[in-house]
Amino acid sequence: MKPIPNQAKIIKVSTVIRHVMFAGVVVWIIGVAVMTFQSIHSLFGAVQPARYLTWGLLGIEVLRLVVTWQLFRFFDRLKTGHFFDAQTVRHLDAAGKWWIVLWLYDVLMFFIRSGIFKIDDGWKPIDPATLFAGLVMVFIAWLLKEAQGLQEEQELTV
Amino acid sequence: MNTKHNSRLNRIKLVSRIFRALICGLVVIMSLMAVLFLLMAVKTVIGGDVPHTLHISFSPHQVFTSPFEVPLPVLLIGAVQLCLGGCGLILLNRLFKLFEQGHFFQTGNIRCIKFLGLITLGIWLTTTTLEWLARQQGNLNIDGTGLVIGILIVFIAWIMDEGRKIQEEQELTV
Repeated sequence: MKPIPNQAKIIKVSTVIRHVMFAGVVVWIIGVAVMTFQSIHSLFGAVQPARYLTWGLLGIEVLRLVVTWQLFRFFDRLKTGHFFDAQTVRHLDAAGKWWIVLWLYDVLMFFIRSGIFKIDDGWKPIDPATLFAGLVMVFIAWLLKEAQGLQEEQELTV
Repeated sequence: MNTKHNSRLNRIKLVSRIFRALICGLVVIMSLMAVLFLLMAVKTVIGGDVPHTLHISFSPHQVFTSPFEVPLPVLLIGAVQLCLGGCGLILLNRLFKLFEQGHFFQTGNIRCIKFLGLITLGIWLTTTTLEWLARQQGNLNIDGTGLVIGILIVFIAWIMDEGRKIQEEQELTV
């Protein structure tokens, strides 16, 4: 199979983004560890709204870690030269779906925080950009999957 | 062409049609909201007692109840943001139209995707600038989602373009 013209450049850029994603994974792992410690600590003595906030934030950190991990795996596949094969597309699809889950969780947390616990901290999480990002990724992954299927069928049909 | 191939194509066409309808609906709703907002603002200026229920939001901390309250820098950056949003919607509509016609990885599609990525980056830049302007009021909410998604779209478009080039070369090679 003939190599892609700018393969070396694509791999180079993928490597840079992969490093950024790896840094993100490390940051979120530290974040999850800190939030876990704080959440367990809040069980002893903290008032209920504070307890809710720390446990809720722990969920957000975990979801962010999962999204970053999937993106890291996606760029890792690109770095190794696997451009849009089934596994690579699956990572992109998973990242998009988890991003949508993150948005839904954020919205739910906001409503519980402001509705039940009456916490007004000026934090506005209902950001449509997160939902848009997730939808775009899921759509691109779906389109690539369908296009791959079409191409495979065309190759088989002689 | 077998039935599986046709059903796949039809599925893509159907989804593209739904997305185009959603885009048209969004444009109509946004236009109506803008007209309503302007009418309410004019009514407030001429002395009518209108409750401030409609807001115009350029970024999380740049929210206004009347266009006459918007400072000039915010208005200019907001206008750029709005233009970028409009261009994005036109490009999205064009992209889905091409998908509907059965064109998937052609120059036109890939150019659309690349420009959509650049527009996402532009919108992120304007939103960040607006948030930076709002920092004087003690508010700062900088989110990197737009930056990440913009870079990702441009990058995917680039790889798609390279794939298209090699496919064209293969078609020309006998």
